[in-house]
Amino acid sequence: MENKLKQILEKTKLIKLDQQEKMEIRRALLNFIRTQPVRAREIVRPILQERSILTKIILILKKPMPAIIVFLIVALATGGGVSLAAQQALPQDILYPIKININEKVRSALAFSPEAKAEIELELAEKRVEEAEQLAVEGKLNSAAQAQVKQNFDRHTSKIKEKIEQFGAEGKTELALQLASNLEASLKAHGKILVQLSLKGDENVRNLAKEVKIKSEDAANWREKEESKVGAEADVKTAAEGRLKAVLNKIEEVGKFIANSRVSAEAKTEAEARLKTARDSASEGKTQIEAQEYNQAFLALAKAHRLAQEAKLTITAEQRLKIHLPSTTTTIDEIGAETEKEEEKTEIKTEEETEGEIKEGIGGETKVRKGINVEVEP
Amino acid sequence: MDPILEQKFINWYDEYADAIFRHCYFRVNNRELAKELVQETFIRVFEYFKKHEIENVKPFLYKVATNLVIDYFRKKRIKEISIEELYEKQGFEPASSSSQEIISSLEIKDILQGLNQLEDGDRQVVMMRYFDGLEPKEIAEILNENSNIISVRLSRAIKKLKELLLKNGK
Repeated sequence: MENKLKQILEKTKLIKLDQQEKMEIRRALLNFIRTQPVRAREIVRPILQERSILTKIILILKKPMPAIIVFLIVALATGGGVSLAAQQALPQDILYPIKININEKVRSALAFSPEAKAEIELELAEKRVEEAEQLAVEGKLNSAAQAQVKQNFDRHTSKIKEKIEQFGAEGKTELALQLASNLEASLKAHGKILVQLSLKGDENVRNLAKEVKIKSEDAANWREKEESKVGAEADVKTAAEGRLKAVLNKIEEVGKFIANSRVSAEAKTEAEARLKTARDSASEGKTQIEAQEYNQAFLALAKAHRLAQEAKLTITAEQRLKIHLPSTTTTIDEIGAETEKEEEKTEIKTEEETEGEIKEGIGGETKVRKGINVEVEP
Repeated sequence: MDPILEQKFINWYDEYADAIFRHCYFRVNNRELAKELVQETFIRVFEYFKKHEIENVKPFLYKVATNLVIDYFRKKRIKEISIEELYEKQGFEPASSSSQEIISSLEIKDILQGLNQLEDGDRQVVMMRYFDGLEPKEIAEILNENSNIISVRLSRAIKKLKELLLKNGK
């Protein structure tokens, strides 16, 4: 009897969350944690300190990471106050190096799986852009801050690229695809916010918007590369259905997020409208899966994912930056062109702009513009 | 949030998410709902963790998940769906191709049928022991009981189950 019951136990272990579901809930939890005010746990800290010091020492013995040691010294010397305060620091703040060199490295060092490490890199890349957005809103994104943001942002994205390649090489195509797709969706959505912010005419913001756009295109290329592997692996249908499921989950998650958020009615309506376009795109993807047009399906699903992410960012941008971002179809290249007009610089026109048509993806939908003529006053 | 504490919490999630999912899934038999319960469980645990240290997180997670499942059935004003009923109706919504074969064997079906005839308390301990793989000590902590009581209840429940199976087999 007990043997039979033990057999059940063995078999039930096969029931679990799939990789994507697990990552999605993980992200939702992290989002939740991040929106929580800094906890009121200080009262119990002195009692806890002894135990946590012990745990920290064990950690050091296991992993002699310099960042952890520095973190410890900082934490011990200040009772953890500095590293907590550093969490809110922005580029050019005194505490900012502590935030990115110690706090964040500790997080990354403590993450177990390569999947978890990749997730952290993705979050950190997003965080760098968010910090820049915050500075841009405050009008404080000077060239030094911009360079600092760019440098760290590059570091995270190249680590993500490494992880994508690593997962790809290990045959974890689904995971690689998901990571590339998440990065792309997030950067495109942030790119849009930066374009909005750069309308004020700040050149540093504009440069950063361009940078984010380039990286989002890189991410799209990485995604396409992984998608082409899916084709080679023959199981395209399963992969496409997996994407569809992931995107539908994402849409559902964003739907709930919008419904539960406390923002202006305007932002809510707009986020819902964006989410609707994401839904449309997802059902388009579904139809294409049914028609066995898998390549088209992947494209539609990637778009749906991006739109859902944008819908969410409409809300978070208002919460975080305390500004409302109206929807726009303006693209970074258009802003570039306008400024060139103002500044009367003909030579800055990029080669791309002089070509017959430019495919533009940052505005949410792909649109094709016919020959742009930049008028120059004599 | 202190990055060390944040990472500690996320490590708990990485380690126990599947187990808590399984726990909820076998009680509500709906994948999406089980996922929501997993998320809610971790959010509740985090809310607590923000303010207090958690000594032994595994039983704590199960305790919260168990209460959420009970709340769910209470709110819906439905009696907890019987395992057998689930099997008869839907053959356990497959979580993956492998989970279908789990329930397919007749022996297991018999056991599920027998389990269903047990009293709620007995069924609960058997499921915690053999579906969730929890030790009697952990079950005791989740149910706020003495671990001796749980061991006794468990062996009594298994004896009853055995009798039921013999009777059903006739």
